[in-house]
Amino acid sequence: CNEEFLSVTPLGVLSEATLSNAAGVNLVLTGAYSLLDGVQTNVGSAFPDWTGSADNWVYGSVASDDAYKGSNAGDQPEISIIEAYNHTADLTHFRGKWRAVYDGVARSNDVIQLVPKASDLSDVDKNLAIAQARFLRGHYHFEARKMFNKVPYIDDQTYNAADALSTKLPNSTEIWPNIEADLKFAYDNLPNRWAGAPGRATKWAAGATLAKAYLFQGKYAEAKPILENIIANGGYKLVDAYHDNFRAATNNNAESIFEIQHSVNDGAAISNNGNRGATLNYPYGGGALTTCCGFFQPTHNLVNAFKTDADGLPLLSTFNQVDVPGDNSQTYAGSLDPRLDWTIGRDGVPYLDWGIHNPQYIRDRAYAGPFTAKKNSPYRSENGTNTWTGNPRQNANNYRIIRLSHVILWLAECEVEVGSLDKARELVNQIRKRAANPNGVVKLANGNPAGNYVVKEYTAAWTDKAVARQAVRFEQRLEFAMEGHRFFDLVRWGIVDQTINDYLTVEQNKRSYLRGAKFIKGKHEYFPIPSQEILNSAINGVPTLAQNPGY
Amino acid sequence: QRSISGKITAEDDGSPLIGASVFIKGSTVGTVTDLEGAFALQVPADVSNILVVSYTGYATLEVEMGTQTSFDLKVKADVTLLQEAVVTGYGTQSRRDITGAVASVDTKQLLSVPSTNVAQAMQGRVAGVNVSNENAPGGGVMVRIRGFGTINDNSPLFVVDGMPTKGNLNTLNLGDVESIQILKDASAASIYGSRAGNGVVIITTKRGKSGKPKFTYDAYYGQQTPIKFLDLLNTQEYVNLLWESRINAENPALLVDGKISDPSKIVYPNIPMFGGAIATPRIPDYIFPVGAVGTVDESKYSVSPKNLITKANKEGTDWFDEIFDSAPIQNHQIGVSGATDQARYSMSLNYFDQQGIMIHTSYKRYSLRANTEFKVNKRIRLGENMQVAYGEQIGQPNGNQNESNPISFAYRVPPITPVYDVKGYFAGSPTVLDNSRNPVAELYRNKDNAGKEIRLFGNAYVEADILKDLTARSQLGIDYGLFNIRRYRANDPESPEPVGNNNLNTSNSYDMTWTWYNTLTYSKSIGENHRFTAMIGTEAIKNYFEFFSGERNGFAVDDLPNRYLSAGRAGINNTGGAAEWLLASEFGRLNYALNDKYLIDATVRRDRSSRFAPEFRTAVFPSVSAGWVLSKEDFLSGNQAVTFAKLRVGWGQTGNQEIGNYNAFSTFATSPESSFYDLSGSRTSSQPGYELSQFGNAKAKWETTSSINAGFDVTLWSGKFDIAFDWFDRRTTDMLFPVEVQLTQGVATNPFQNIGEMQNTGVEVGVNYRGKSGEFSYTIGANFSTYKNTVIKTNGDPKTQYFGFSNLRLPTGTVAVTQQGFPLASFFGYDILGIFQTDREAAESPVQFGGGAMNKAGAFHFRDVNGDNIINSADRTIIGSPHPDFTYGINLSFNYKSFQLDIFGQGVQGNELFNYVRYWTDFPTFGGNRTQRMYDLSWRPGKTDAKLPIPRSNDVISSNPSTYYLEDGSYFRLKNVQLTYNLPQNLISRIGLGGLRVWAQGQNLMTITKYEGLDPEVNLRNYGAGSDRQIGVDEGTYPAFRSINFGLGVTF
Repeated sequence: CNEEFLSVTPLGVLSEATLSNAAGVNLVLTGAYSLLDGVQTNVGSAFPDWTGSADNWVYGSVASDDAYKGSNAGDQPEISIIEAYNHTADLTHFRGKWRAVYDGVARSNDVIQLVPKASDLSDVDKNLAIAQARFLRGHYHFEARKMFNKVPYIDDQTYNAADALSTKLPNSTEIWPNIEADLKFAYDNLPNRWAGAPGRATKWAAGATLAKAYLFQGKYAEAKPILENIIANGGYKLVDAYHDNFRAATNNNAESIFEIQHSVNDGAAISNNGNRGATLNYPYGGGALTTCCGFFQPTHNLVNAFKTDADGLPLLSTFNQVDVPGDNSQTYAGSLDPRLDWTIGRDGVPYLDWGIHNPQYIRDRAYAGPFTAKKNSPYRSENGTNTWTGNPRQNANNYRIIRLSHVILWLAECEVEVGSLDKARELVNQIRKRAANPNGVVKLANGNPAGNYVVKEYTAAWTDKAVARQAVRFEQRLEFAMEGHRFFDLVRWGIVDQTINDYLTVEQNKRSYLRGAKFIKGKHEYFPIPSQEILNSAINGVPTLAQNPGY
Repeated sequence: QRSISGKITAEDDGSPLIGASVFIKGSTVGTVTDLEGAFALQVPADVSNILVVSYTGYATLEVEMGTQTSFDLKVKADVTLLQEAVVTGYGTQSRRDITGAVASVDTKQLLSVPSTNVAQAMQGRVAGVNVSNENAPGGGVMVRIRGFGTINDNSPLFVVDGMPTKGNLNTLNLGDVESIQILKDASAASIYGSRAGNGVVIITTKRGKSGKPKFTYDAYYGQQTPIKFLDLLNTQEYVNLLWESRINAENPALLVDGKISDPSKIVYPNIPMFGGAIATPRIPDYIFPVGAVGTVDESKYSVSPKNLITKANKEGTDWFDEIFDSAPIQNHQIGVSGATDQARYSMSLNYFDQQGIMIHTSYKRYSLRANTEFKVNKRIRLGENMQVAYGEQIGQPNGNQNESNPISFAYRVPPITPVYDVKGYFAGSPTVLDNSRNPVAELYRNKDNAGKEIRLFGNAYVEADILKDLTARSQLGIDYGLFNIRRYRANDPESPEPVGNNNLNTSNSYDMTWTWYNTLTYSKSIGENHRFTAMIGTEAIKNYFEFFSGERNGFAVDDLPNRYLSAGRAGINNTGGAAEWLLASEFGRLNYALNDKYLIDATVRRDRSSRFAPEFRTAVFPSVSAGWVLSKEDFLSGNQAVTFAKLRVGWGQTGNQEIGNYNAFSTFATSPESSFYDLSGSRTSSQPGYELSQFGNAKAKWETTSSINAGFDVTLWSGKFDIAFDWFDRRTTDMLFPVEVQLTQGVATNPFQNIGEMQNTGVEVGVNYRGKSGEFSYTIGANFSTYKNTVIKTNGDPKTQYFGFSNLRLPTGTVAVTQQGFPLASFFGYDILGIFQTDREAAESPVQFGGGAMNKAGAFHFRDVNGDNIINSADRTIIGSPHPDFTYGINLSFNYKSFQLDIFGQGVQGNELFNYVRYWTDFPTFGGNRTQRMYDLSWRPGKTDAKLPIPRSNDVISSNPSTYYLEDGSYFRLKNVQLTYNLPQNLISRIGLGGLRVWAQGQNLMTITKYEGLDPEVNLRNYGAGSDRQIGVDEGTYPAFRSINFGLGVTF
């Protein structure tokens, strides 16, 4: 036999050379976008879909004062460990998140390296492809930075797909400047809109992400002009109904700046593009549209935060002193912010168009309380169209990672810090005014509001920065509750240890498993670098990655 | 031409030899003796004058006929089976001349135990060969020869009639097997080079023997019954334990030294099913409506809208009893064989049907074999061996060792759930008691999901005697397999987490291998003193595999005739792919015997594989071995006791190429799941994308196993006793492993890299004793083997840990680790020292997992391995090994007149098993049923001999992987007791038969083990490549069964 007999070509896959053209660049770029949801199944994966989920429900919400793990005690115990701040560096969850974001980085770098080889691509298109890839690379690194603190920045100079050792970089250098550079390039080079492709990154998405990166570093002065530019020139507006930010039918609406696109019945097995990251987070039974898995239940603390006073304002300091009852047999006499019932399922209130939320929606009420998550859920009337025909838990309800309301409230933060308290209040009031829209609240079958909803604007001036800060931050909690931002916001605001420990002091009387839980300052602000990744980073037996303090 | 006739009897006892070959030397004229040992033969004029009598176990007798026409010949029992021809690589050798470690399996014994698969039947039969099988009909079988040579794939190469295969052998009909040889060491196996690293099993199928056509019919029928179930709770016990663990969870402040200090302050569990927050739970009359007591209006029953009505089973459902039942097994084989001087032929038709002891599982096989050989002329022979088989398997849904299979559901479903609801439909469990599905329903709905396999396996060859001593052979083999399954999942409206939409997946694949080899063999004796055989050859192999599958959901009705893809309305999805590999080889062998005393055997093979980049694809695998027949030396030649003695020593190298087909290439792939994205915001479509799917490693080279073998074969007292002993040391270097690439590089298939070293050392002993007293004779056989596996090196870093599968529910991942200095797949977890008896003792101990309830009375006391006074994941360590100290088999055979009694037992000693089922049944994790052990042996104040911590429903720590899960996996199993009766000749001939044999048999009549799981025979978690990184983890394996079988064999 000669050598020719033994030469083979891999079947059903392509080489880099085959992809080195305009069409190939677009395909690989689409592949880089496709990891925005944090879900991947290309290799027999031991990482459950939600560990890398873009909505960060575990790390941003369960690890904060917004949500419990939910379900029952035995299911997914790792999340219970994170919830009670007992986590260690070897949890599969952290590695799953690390894996998702760094695969996103690698795919972005594949695009950047492929572009110069595509001779049929015009310079304009080359620039647009690079700008999108750098936006994505910045975004993925941003996720890594906020989760894991000390992380390496993998750029296209470092990364070499043909050399498996190429990315063993130390994590000793601060990567915010690299993130800023990528996002700045994207902000300067991307178009305002892409015709027919709302899923692509725009100038405004890049700007908002860049501003967010500044806010994470307390660089209010740098963030402010970008946020102002987006509001002035971005062409976005708050949608009339708050809830239009949380339903598939109104994906990519006028308020959206950047959404993680979910699609169903698109040919992907188990509808993998249909928000797999949230697949556990639906009501469990009792006539619900879904029957699994009852995770991601809101905390009582969060429910209480939606209480309003006689002026329709939040009870900034006292909200948690009396509980909004979870049991249907009791009613709450006080008034509530109507956003509560778009955020949280509770007994007696319609759960979208599924029917009235009832105790059977919950898997184990004694374990994780009477409330359910709502923002990620699909409509019963859209079952089979905006949900996967195989299972409605996979649905096309996009995760809106950045919308105009973020930009408005971030600008309010900046205004507070520069001392423009009235400007800040005006911005917060825009949000509250929309929340108060009487046409936009949850209604019963008879057309009446489902609760005693009273929400009003701040009419009195804020007396000082501290009060203003508290109000702005509280508004962000209400507006973005259960959306995976809370923990990271608490960290960047520098109030995470006190907020969480105060929360635990009370909440452990409701959830017995939280007894003994404690947030340790200087440690729990960040999650540990996955221990196996530290091991795998070794060169000649010496790890290049170092662990975060405290782990 | 003239007629001769005669009778052949054994010299020692005068008994007739049935089926002995009688032929004229140098011709194809011959016959076999009948049941009285008689023969008759027409002798042509042009043949030699020598009559030859040959019979296995007896010395070949040659008689000059002269003019004599009637012969009364007595043959001598041979000293053991030393003259037996042993099929080795690309040829045969006399057992006497073998210098490597080659074991022959007694196929008669082997085939006496009903099995689906020939590999399964080898269990316990041969020293150094460990076999474990899945027990499910048509299930997987693991064969490991001399331990585990690599972290990679350790399955041996099977060579059937010269045709190599690594595929599953379910479709090889056992009834066709003539002989099995196992090439255990490299000096024997390295002629198969790159695929022989894990040993080679050579199987030869039956050929026709000289004589008239012989018709046979063999059959058995048996009844299989389950042996053992888990000891689970009834409804009352279940609810009691639930309440206890919920009270402990919800009143931590009241617990002082594990006792409720102030009962008046207790907050009781609030579960409406059991009457709400009350001190003593109430078992309701109905579970649907949830917790209903008294009368329920059953006329309101409705599936949609869902208003199922289900009575509580107040006594408790025994789910194991519901899903297991006795089941029949049967096998029928018709054969015809014979030979003339121009042709040999053997044909068989087989039907095998095993119903599983698990309801609605089964395996069926139909096979047809035809082996023929034709003599074209004096020098040229043509032949073929061909089998076509059809197999059909209905397995348990979701497969063996899976948390969502019926066995797992049988312990995960609460006892209060009945099998059926008030209308006779399947009942489901209430969601508050968790999400287990009804295992009876699962099996019933799966009963038509048959995996169907057609396999064509065989070869055709031509052999030509070019010169007197020089023979050329060319053989072309084919292995063609087709597989199809339509896997339908019906709606399960009763389930806590119903599937939502019925769906169907249809998948098809085919696999085709051709193997073409050519050999040239030269055998020569020079004078009395020198004998040698030289052989050279080439081989080329090509494999191609292709598959596709399609899926749809939303079928209007579940009826069987509707279960085809086109009948589904939505969820349309399909996938497909292909792969190929090729191998080209040249090889040679030289055997030399000096004075029949000094033996040398040398082989070399050069392999080139498409699986490696061109620069690294060539490898040479040499071997050399020597033998010294001591019994031929002067100092032993006159010895009355020592009949035969031989020392053997050998060294050789073998390889492994199981690294996937395209390891050298970096590739980009597309998949809707992981590289498509809905850029257009359409919600119902997505744009295609590509991603890097494989990191190529063009530098990978062959993994090499070097092995040394030393042993001896001794036969004493004219064959009454023989012993074979071997010692081996196998060391694998450049071990190929898909080293995990750091994730900052992205995610793609990890390339195999040459890392690591692994060593196995061990000894093997096989002994046989044959005794006789009058008409009573007996054989006692035993085999014993050990291996010690050590990972010498992983990637050079002693801290590097390669984990097994982490898909278990256990917190912090995995239970099996491969690390330098330890055996492959060692168990990994926490070491439990005991249970805290008092709060004070607990408080004074290191802070366990953040403290709180884990530092109170009744909690597990974990060992502080790293001594930092904190118990966390850094305190996990290697806690046990799944490798046995030794394995053994015992075979007893007694003959008295026409009766024969065979007894066979097999055991494993000193291995540990990780009883993962305990995660579900011994800890308050999910809401399924619990063991009696948890009920009785959980810690309560004063219970110092407790095995489990205080029951506490929010305890997610105690169930961490730990020494608690480890159990002694030793067992001895009486595999077979069989009584055979050969009907007397006079009776048989009166009814016109050639022979009739009837037998009765009991399989697995007794198992001695301390293991508390379903079955100690749990070696590999599953049977695919890479599975050796997690050995001995019991996820609720399909249990062994006991069976009583009756069989008969008729010859016409």
